[in-house]
Amino acid sequence: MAEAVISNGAIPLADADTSATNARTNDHALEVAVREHARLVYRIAYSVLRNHHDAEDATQEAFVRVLRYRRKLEGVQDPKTWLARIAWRVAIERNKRRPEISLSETEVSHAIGELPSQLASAEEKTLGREMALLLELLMAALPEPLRNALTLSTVEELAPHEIAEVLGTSESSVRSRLFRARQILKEKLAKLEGKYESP
Amino acid sequence: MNHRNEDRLDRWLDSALNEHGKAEPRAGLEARVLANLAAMPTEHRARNWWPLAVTTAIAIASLALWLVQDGRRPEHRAPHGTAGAAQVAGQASAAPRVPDGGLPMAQGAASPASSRSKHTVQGRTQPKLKQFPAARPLSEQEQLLKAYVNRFPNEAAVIAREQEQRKKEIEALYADATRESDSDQER
Repeated sequence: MAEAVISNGAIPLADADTSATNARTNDHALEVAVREHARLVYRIAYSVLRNHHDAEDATQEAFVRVLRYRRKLEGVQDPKTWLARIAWRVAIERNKRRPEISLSETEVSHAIGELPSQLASAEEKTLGREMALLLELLMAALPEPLRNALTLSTVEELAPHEIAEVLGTSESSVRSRLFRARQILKEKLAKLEGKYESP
Repeated sequence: MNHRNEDRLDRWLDSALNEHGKAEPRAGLEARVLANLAAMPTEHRARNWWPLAVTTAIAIASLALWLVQDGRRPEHRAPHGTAGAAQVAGQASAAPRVPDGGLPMAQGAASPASSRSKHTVQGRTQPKLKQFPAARPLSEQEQLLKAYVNRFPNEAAVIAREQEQRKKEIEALYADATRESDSDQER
């Protein structure tokens, strides 16, 4: 049985299958991956699940999957994108099992009511809960390819070419999707704003 | 949408999406993940071992089943013998017994293993009877005997008659001998 001690000295990772050297190398690579990319994995999960608890669970699940395929980790050219793809899949799978986001009529009307002031002072103010939910609602209404690209674009660590890797498409396609998604959102926001201002 | 309004919406969207993507995990996420992973290998090892465990269990169960069946075989053989004897006796009344030397043994002699397995299969296919010993099909030797009697009934009858006569002669001699010894004792 091969055992490797993770650098803080407290957490041993054992592997019964591989030789001691390979196991140590794999465990070390896994530890490095956790230390370097756990936040990225968490943020990807959070961008989909919108809940800290679920995002953490998804992060754990993603790394358990990495543990399962840790022999591959050594050969992976870009561990960041590889992990991002795993995190994305885990989050999407978890999200499918959850009920859809819904806003009550009061929340929607309150969010729309706040929209002009929010739009006026976008830089200074952080979004209120209703506004954040409204954005989620608007994003949820987007076609899936556009929504996926936009969701991943909110994760600041991911560049468009990495988003393309995660989604299995080209960078130009990602850029085009992002542009279209933003256009749709702006049109919807303008409509909502007009709806509020017209009466 | 005019240009100014679009800029405003763009700014709002940038801000909103930036806010949307802001998510800080609770402190110590990496440590929790590593701790969770450290707890995992036991399960992984268990997962790697379970096929072996299942295989071993199946092997043990098969062995036990085989032993149980093997233990039952003598019970099957016992009625086999008695039933066989009864059937041979029954046949002897219908068709005369043939001496061992007269049987064409080489003709249909199958290997003991094959006949054994055949009996086991036959025994399994037959329903369990209340009668003891249970009726069973004829053994190969009995079948050969039957075939011989069917094929050469006259010879079989002659042999049987001679056997009967010899048997009677022996019984008569034995009876005489016992009678003489009895009379000698009385004297």
